[in-house]
Amino acid sequence: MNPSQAAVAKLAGAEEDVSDLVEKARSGDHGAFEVLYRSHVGRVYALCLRIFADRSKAEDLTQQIFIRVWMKLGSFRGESSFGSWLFRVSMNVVLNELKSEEARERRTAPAEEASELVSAREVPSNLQLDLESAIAVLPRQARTIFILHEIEGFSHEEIAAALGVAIGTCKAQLSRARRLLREALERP
Amino acid sequence: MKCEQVMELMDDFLDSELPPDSCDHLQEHLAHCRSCSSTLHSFQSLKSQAASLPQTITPQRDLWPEIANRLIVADLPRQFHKFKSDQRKPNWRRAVRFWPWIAAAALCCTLCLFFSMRPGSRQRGGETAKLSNGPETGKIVPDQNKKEIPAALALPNGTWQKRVKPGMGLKPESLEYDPGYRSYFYAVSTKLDPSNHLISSRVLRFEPDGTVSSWEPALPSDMGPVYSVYPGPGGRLWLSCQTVDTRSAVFFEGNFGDDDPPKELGRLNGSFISQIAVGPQGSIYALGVRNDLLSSVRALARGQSITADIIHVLDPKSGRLNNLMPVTFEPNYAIDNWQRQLDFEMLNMPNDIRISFRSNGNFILSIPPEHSNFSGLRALAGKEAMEYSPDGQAVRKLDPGILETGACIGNIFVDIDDSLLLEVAYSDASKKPNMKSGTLAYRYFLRMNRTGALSRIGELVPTDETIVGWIGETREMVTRVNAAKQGMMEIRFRKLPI
Repeated sequence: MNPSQAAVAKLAGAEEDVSDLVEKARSGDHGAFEVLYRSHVGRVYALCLRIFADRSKAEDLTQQIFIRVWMKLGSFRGESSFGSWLFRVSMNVVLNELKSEEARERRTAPAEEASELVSAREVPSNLQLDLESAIAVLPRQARTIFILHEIEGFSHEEIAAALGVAIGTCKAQLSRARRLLREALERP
Repeated sequence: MKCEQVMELMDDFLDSELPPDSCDHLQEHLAHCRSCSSTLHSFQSLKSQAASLPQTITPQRDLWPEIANRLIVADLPRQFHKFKSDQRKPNWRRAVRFWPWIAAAALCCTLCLFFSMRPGSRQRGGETAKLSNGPETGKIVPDQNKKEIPAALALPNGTWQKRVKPGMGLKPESLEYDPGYRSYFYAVSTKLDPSNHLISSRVLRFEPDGTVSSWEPALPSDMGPVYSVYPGPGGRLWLSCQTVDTRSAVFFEGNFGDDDPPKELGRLNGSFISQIAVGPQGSIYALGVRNDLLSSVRALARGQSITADIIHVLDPKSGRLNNLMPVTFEPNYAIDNWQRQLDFEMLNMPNDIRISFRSNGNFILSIPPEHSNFSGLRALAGKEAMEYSPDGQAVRKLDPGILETGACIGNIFVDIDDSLLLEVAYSDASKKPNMKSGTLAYRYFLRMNRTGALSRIGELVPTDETIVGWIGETREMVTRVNAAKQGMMEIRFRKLPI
């Protein structure tokens, strides 16, 4: 059994408490951290892939997030669940990357991204496939706000604060996203 | 309420943020407007579809192996801070307990200094070694805390060191380990007059029993300093020299201690060779800086970059050379030192490129950080190295992944199992990176095996030591410490746990 299989088996058994794993990882145990990674990577990767609509970027960012989490384990005090803390760290990394990307102004052709995104995912139904690909071709800010609001469940106030935009802008972009998605999904 | 107004309120209605009275008006409109009702229905459907999208998506490939590699590097800052605090933490209680001894030692030092400064004291002591042609013993400062240096040729295990003071204003430089003999180290020592004219140029040989021999090769009269020395096949030494006018580089081959003039192998006009390396089957690789030395120095001082070539000496007998690839050296901080003091050591000329050879003859090249272009706190360049075939074709990139900010790859050594030892130099982010002045915080090593998997090895190596070589059989890193002002050189063998 290779280390990955062992980690999965460990995870499946669910005998090890998350806080024990965090404690072990904090003391430098890579094996414990791998278990934590495998149980949370899907959530983190989904966020990165949806926001950036670019598989290789999402993979790279996911790696960065877990490295960041590893380095910040010492500051995790257990006041919230490990999952929510990790997601908060992920959000910070993603938002920082968005800001740097905006600064670089190097958005690539959306149509290509959409096909890349669709091919990169396993989705349960055609309906969801259509929605995912339609989300992927939204303009960046509208897409980010739609994902954070409609999929991740953040409020306008939280999103506006995180992105550093006015609440009005946030609402306007969500409205734009909805209209564009509706058009895209109803197109024959 | 008109349809346009309904459309404006639709988003707030979907998000349940519409005030109750507006909500009533809107619902009243929807009850008899099929178009708006249909729009609302499609938006609600979209909202529920989005909410039911899967929360997780599995990456198509396993990202863990790369993360695991990067964790090795990510662990370092913690260890570094511990290392730094261990190094710097003064033990005041202990110091107070031993203060009478400290005071006595300080008094002794003061007295020694006083007597040593009296006229004639150097001659009376008779401790300063003289180096002349032929084998002669230099001054060895015994290492108080270490075991006796054995006379056997094999190097001892463990950490020990020797200090060599060749005297006569000679400063040993560019130490090279003789991998064939596992016993000698060779250094070049050059003495220049205040106008930088060559007075003498010698090759020093350090032996494991602590003796130091010197050899002043009988070079032609138009020859300037010996720039580098490298142990070649058959126990012969390969020398690279430059002519007095610094416009030509010349290769020689000779036997240590021979009175006969070394044999000229080849001559390269219009550039000077700052380093040579002898690969498998005696093939020579060299670093040749285009243009003569003084022009290169002036260019660097003016803030211009200079270009050197990695040269493969195809046929030493005829001096046939082949330029494999250019390497650009950017001007950097060391030039400030040069402007204050015309000292060739401070020029930061490209003489620290180390070429390592794999068993199949491929060579590995990385450029140490002091030659990389950087400014201020920007991350050092050189986070990867390249492996080349013997004819200079790039074979593959050696990339250990993302290193931490301020880190870069320095020397690369090939271990006996053909895996690579990557020296990673890591700078303290609060300081300008500068390996020569010791502000780089520490170095560590990564082992890269054939599949590219990484593992961290060894302990942190202090930055005041220049890494000279790696002895795979005994797992030892050989370093040198130059104390240029005193004309001293220490050689240390640092056993690395694997």
